[in-house]
Amino acid sequence: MKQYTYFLLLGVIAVLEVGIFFWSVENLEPLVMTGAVIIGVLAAWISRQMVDDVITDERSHLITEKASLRTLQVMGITLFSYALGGVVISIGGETFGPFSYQIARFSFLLMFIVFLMIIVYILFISWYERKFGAGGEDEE
Amino acid sequence: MHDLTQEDLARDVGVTRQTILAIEKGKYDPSLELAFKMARRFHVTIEEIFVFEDSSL
Repeated sequence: MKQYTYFLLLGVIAVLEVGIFFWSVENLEPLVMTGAVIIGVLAAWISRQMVDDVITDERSHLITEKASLRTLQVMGITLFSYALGGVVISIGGETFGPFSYQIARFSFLLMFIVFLMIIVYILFISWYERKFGAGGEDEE
Repeated sequence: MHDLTQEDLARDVGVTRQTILAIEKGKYDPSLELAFKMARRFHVTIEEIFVFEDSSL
């Protein structure tokens, strides 16, 4: 299969997913949507295996890595700032009136997620350091 | 000289045509593995294809 055909198939799958999503929302059938997502991902994966052309290579991996790291940094800082602001404002009390408690709770949850993200990041760093041989003792 | 298109070379060394283009333009430095594959494809040494330029100088 050509790369162009693969992207066309992905587009068709995406359109079908959106259609099924609307149908499941209209008819209150969450299981249909869940099943459709799983089948869609499987279909996309099978189509990907059938592509003869080279789609990903070391350059595309490098781009993905750099983009992922930047996204993590930007989103981490943005979410943390938002969470911190939310906590500070809600602790003030009167600003949001009766909603202060909910805002504080949401902000703390957000902050927890950001910290969790940092912990996962550190774990992955440690994993890859071992994988690429940074750990262990130096040879004398 | 070798009558080879970017697409042919890309297929032979297992990368996309965009990667070959980026290397040609000097926007991307290939990995050692890819550099060896390209050198092997042209039956030359790496130094005959790539020139090291120290960017810190």
